[in-house]
Amino acid sequence: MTEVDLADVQGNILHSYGRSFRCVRHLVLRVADPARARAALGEMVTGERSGPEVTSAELAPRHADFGWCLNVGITYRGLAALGVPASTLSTFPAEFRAGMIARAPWLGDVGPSAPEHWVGGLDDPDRAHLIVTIHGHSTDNIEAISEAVVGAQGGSAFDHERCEELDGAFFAEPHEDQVHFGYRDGLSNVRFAGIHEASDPSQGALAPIGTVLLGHPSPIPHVMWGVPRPSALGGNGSFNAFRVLRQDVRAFEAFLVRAAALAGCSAEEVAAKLCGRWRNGAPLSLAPTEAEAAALPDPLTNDFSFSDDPDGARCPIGSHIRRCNPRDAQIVQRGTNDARALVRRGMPYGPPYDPAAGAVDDVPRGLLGNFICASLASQFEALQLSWLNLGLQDPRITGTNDPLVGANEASAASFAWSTSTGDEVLADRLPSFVTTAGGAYCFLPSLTAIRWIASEGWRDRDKPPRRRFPALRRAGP
Amino acid sequence: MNLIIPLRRPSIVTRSQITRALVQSTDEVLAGLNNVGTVHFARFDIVAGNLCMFSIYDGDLSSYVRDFIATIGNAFDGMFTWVRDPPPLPVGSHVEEFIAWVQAHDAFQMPEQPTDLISRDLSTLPRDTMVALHRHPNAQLGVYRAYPGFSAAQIRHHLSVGW
Repeated sequence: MTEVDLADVQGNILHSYGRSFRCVRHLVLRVADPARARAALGEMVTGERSGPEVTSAELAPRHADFGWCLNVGITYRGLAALGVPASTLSTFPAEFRAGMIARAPWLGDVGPSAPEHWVGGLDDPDRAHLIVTIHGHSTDNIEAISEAVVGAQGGSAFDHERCEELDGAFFAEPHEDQVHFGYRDGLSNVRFAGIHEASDPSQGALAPIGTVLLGHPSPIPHVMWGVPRPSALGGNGSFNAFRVLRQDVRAFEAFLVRAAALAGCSAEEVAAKLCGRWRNGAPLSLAPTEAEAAALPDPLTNDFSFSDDPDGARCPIGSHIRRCNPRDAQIVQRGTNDARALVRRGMPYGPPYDPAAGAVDDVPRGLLGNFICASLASQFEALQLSWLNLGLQDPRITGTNDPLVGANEASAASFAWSTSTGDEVLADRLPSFVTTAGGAYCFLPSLTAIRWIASEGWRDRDKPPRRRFPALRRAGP
Repeated sequence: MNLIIPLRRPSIVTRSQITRALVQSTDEVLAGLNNVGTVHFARFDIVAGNLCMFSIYDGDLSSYVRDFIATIGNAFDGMFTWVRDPPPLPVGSHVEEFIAWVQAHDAFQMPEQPTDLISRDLSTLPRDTMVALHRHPNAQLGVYRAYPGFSAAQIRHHLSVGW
């Protein structure tokens, strides 16, 4: 088993911080003064929590007295702005160097999702250098820490004028585990061998740590993802596709009602068929009817498969969870069922939709999502490009996009499913419910790497001392 | 994908060795291409001192090559030992470098679909074309498809030959 130094790994990669950290702020920062920004980063890895300190995986398991957790993502332009030399930057993978804005056409971020409409300064790659993410029990915790981050080095490290804040929070109880479309979220996250307990089958199988951490074997036999060099910079790092996903709850609920009337079923059943889970979390694979979903003892279970539902009679082949994770279903790209697995961590932003407010409620709301993986191209992009959109994994859905998050055009998109009574339904005019309102590809450096950047590690390259002569062996007695 | 890879020494011996390597791994290569699942056709040719690997596949190049490596692994490594400027081997340990190498050896493709012109100013196209042809001596000028818009798996599914 791979040994990982948890004190070296940022804490949001391997673990979720849990629901007690109910608020989040993503600070989008621009480097104003490279030397001071490096110094500010150095102050975040001193090992003391007297100021803003990066939370490691070792500390991540929720110390009761922690009021906040902090993590740092750096974009390609951010690394350059911090002074990392071009020869080092060239060792990063091409899609990271290009950045999410350049990859927008491939990701389906076109039309209303195009980068020119993005918020939070994310429309400008020269503005989004660092994304500092602060999780807190309350907004007070977050305010205090974010002030300290922005004010680091006498306030001269980062550009105050152009600092942006993206805030999110879990819903109030009893809906704290729901997201804007009303589903319970965060149910089927990747868990790792050597990190999480293997004993609980309801949580699903364990993945190799190389799914998210650079420098460890990937989930694909005989494949290793490249690690940015030197290893002090790349090792134990990870990549994050940060996404601001705006959700149109009114359009979603309206579609449910229209499709339910068409199919002669409940709106809840349509919601379940679009997602693959009922809104209470129960997987369609285990609970094909609403009554079974309500009666399922553990609706949050992850212990189910698709191989016994090859035609999608229960869980539609085109449903969201089946596209994201085909589990043991037959797919076109054989043997790659787990190859695109990634970690998802998200928190809603904006107030819950109020149906009573109706047409006047157009407050921005959605999800602040982190999609964490070791290879953005092989995991995040391949998932987005050929499974969520396009549907290349199964010929019966090829040419269609994900019904919940896909780049759908109402004039052309539709969704097909079998109702719980066995009727085939095709609901046309499927609009896009989710618009990309921002995003950035970030590198999540290890704590060693943050120190390396802070101390300009590129200046004293680890050159092994050159030996002119073979070492003399002391003559034995 | 149209890889045109100059041979290190385009002698009859090298060509025989490549032929033998391909024949020896035929089963592995065909099974691998079958498992990648998105490939319509793949050809291996020697043309004017170049090893050529041409294929028509569904989706984008990066996903195709990545699925290809995940499925076929290092089966082609043997063939790359006779080419000039080979990729770092084994390819499974140098995925990003291999993709960059593939892109460097891939013939430039003229945009085939109008959608490829997204966000491009049409008036600059002839200039783009000139620049591209200047940079890339090899180019795919056009492709005919008897069944545009269908994936390899859809055709197999409709023909009931398994996908």
